[in-house]
Amino acid sequence: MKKNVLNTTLILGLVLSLTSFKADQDDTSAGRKFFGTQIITGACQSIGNSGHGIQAVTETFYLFGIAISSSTTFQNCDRSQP
Amino acid sequence: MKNLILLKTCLTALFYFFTVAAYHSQILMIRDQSSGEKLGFSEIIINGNMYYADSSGVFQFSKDIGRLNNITVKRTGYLEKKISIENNETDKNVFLEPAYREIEKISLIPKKVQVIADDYKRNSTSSLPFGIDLGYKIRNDFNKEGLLKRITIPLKNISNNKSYIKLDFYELTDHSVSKVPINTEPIFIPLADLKKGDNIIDLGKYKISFPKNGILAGIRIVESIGDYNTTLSQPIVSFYNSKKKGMTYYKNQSTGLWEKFNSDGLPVISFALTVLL
Repeated sequence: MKKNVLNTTLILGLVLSLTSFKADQDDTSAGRKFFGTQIITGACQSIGNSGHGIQAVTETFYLFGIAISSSTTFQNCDRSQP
Repeated sequence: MKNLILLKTCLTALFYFFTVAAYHSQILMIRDQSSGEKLGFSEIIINGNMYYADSSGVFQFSKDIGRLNNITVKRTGYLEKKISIENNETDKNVFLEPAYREIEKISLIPKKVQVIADDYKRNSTSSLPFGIDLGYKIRNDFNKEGLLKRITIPLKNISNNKSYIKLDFYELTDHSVSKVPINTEPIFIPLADLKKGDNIIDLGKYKISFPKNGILAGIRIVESIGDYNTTLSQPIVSFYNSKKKGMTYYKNQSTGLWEKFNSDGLPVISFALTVLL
């Protein structure tokens, strides 16, 4: 009986992990991942020069729903692109 | 033997090539109009891109430039000047006129050293590209004027040590941020002088006041100084983020005003200020 419960828990855990694992996928929702990397790309904001802008891209790595590390990169962007 | 002659010929050709290239490179020397003093780290704006003179006020055009019109030369405390330059011109002195402005008299009787600091997260970093000014507000909770003594910048990683960090401090008023920095001298810190972990930068020599409401610390990564180079955009230095939430600002390059970043939940870079109050 105990063995069955343990097996079911392990299988459930594995399924949950696999279904939420989508590394390097753009994700603009505020929801957390269970496992994998969430990338949030901010809006491209004008910095005053013609067509040029700046945006923040934050990559957060989650393990079992816990944010393990996060890095935000500010980068140049082209405001003429949709 | 043949190879030796070939090598000799190649070396001679290279020597002539570099001699001719050096001959054609032009130099701008930025100076104070009144004293003739060299103005290090002056800003040079060409086609909307910002470049900087080196610490001796020298700026070199080492490539074929044709004719460049509307070059703006500016520096804090001086009136900006527009010039143009052509390939065949000789080296040029650019004299900037000092901009005299009324500065409110500050009477400071420093009493004790205070540290304004937030803890930083070891697992959260921010990276900046070249050529963008980002700003972070640091409030003065002591509600009295002081003097900036040191700034501590914790860094996680540095991957290019030829560049510089440029720091500027702006006064916070009740509802806005001053357009002109409080520091009258440009502050350039070579990345080569920095290390992973806490970097303590002495600000004592700049005599920067710490206003009653606080400051906005402006930070910019400068690719190189003293040369007309192309601007790159890859991040080269990563800063630790603060545990506290805050707001990130960026400088609008047309208006020179600080504007709020719209993205929600952006982390803020961690600084620690040591002030005399």
